[in-house]
Amino acid sequence: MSALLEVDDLKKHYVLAGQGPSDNPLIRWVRSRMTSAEDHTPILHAVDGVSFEINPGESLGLVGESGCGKSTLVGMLARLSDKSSGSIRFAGKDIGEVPSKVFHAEPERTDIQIVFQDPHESLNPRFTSFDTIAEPLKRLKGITDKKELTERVEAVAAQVDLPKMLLSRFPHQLSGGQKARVNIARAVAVEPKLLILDEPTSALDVSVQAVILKLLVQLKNDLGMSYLFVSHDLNVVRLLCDRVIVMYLGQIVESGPAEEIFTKPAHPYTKALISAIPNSAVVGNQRVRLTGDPKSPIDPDPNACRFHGRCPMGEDKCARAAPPKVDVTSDHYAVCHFAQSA
Amino acid sequence: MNERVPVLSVKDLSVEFRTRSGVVKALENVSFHVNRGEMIGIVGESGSGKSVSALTAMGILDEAGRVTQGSINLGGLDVLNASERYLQEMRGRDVSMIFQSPRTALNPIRTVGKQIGDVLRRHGSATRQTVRAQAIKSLMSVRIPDPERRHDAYPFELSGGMCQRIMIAMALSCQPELLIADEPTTGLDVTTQAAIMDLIKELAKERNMATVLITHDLGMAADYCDRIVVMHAGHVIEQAPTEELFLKPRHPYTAKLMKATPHGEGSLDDIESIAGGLPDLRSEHLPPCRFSARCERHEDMCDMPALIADEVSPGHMVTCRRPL
Repeated sequence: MSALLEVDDLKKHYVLAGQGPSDNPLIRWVRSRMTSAEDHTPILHAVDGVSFEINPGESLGLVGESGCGKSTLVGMLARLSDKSSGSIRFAGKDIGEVPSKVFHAEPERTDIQIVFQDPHESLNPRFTSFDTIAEPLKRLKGITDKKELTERVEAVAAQVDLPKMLLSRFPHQLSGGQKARVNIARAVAVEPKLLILDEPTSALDVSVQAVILKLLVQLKNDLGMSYLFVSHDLNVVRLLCDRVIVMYLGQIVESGPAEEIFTKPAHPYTKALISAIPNSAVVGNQRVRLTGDPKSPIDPDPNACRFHGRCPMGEDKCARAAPPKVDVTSDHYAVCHFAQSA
Repeated sequence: MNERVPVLSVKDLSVEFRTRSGVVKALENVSFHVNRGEMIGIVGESGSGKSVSALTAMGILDEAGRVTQGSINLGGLDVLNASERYLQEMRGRDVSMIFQSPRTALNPIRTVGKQIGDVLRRHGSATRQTVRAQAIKSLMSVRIPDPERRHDAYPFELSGGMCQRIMIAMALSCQPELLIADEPTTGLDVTTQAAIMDLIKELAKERNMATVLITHDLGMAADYCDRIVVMHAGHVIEQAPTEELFLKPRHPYTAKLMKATPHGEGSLDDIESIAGGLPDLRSEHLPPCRFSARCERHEDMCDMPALIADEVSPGHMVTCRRPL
């Protein structure tokens, strides 16, 4: 089976402006003569060599704390921002080569859709539900006929269980769960092959969260989509995803089948994440707690583990050598000096 | 002080908000209490009245809000009838609050050390000479590394978890007897969330302080609280010691809330959503049980007026005519 999305050694680096030498020779001359600025340009490694793939019909979970590069990665995959290096292959075509500014003209724009975080903020307040759902159909599918448009929008609304009478309402007239449905309907209206869900339920109450999760599973079965599910709610990821990748400071530290990640985590960071879940019966009393904050993503030391310093298992060798990628089982790996294959 | 005398006790509290589209009955006959050294959790959906209860207890209810009945006793003080000047003395010294989203709660253009110093000078014993040393001591107590340097940092220079630690340092700097934490970890990462909650629990234990944790996360309340108060649409519908509540929930809403929360093992089929939403609290004719429209056990007898809390076992109160 060939993968739907293959990401290989994807990087996003930001050159921090205003410091170090510049491209402008005059500025360079002034800096070298007049200031004691270091002869070095700091680079922020937001996403640093990420490789993974998503198969057709699969749900991949992406977890990690804020600042680890999840959103930067999602932005690149949805082709809303450009990569620094590496490749993004979607159904065999390298879509990473197309600049994000002109990507909307590509046929793949329809195939990759995204449901944004926080349904309260991500809907246009001056669009009715109908307008919101119709917009991608008009823009991407080129449907202009009013009757056909109405039919399509109503069909999509029915798919996400959005009552017809709500189609003429504005976002402020809808509840949180209804807004989430409109958001999902907008994304699935053009029948994408890959749906990226960026924390789809974090702004919802538990009482509606369950309905939306069930809706997502049902939609996936009906439409045969693949999901990339970004979340920090590990309980939800566990329910929905087949495989999980864990990111830390721009890199993948562990990847494997969801059940295995949750029952037999191999990386100390994953262990800490899982034992931080409230009311988790998984780890019992031996809780792993992290101290301190992550290191800076600016110019990380290539010859050290990025988790060193916060890691409860950290040793001298972690500060001297980058950790190797260890295969725990055939489809489960961890990037750690202490990981062992089963 | 006697261990059994509650630090905070709220009795039959009702609060209304006058809005342009009608009077919102935000709280009705809300009663709960917190003992010394105890941590209670107030749990419920958004709009259930968790924060309004806390704000009223501190005497900082919005001007549109009006207390129509009930009493609040805070360490012997009648909050509802106390003068504003006295309340200002009390806030920060006897009772403190930690708000959600620490970044917006802190003043962005004052260094964090100065902001802690403000509290110490207003409510504590600090003088101009000792304020810096005392603020640094507060920072140390919430385990902030390098407190000397952090004292002069602005909020934007610190991470979210660090800002929340500053908020905690500020709230605890004058050794209050009661701490109200309103969703202290929303917007923080799971790992930071765990660290912050551990810290609050530890400090509360150290100082034998009473704590009210307001949260919508049942799992978190289960992990940290001794007792849980469940609210729904402005009513307290059930309160019980944590273990008992989870083993034997008696109110249908509590049971449903537990089923709706994903937890570790189990599949998607095991979780169920709760049908319907909160009733419109502006309506003139709210049913006595505000859960009745969403309840599967609803019968005619549920619509009879004067629904009161029943003590089904010691410390376990249920407000339901047909408990599970």
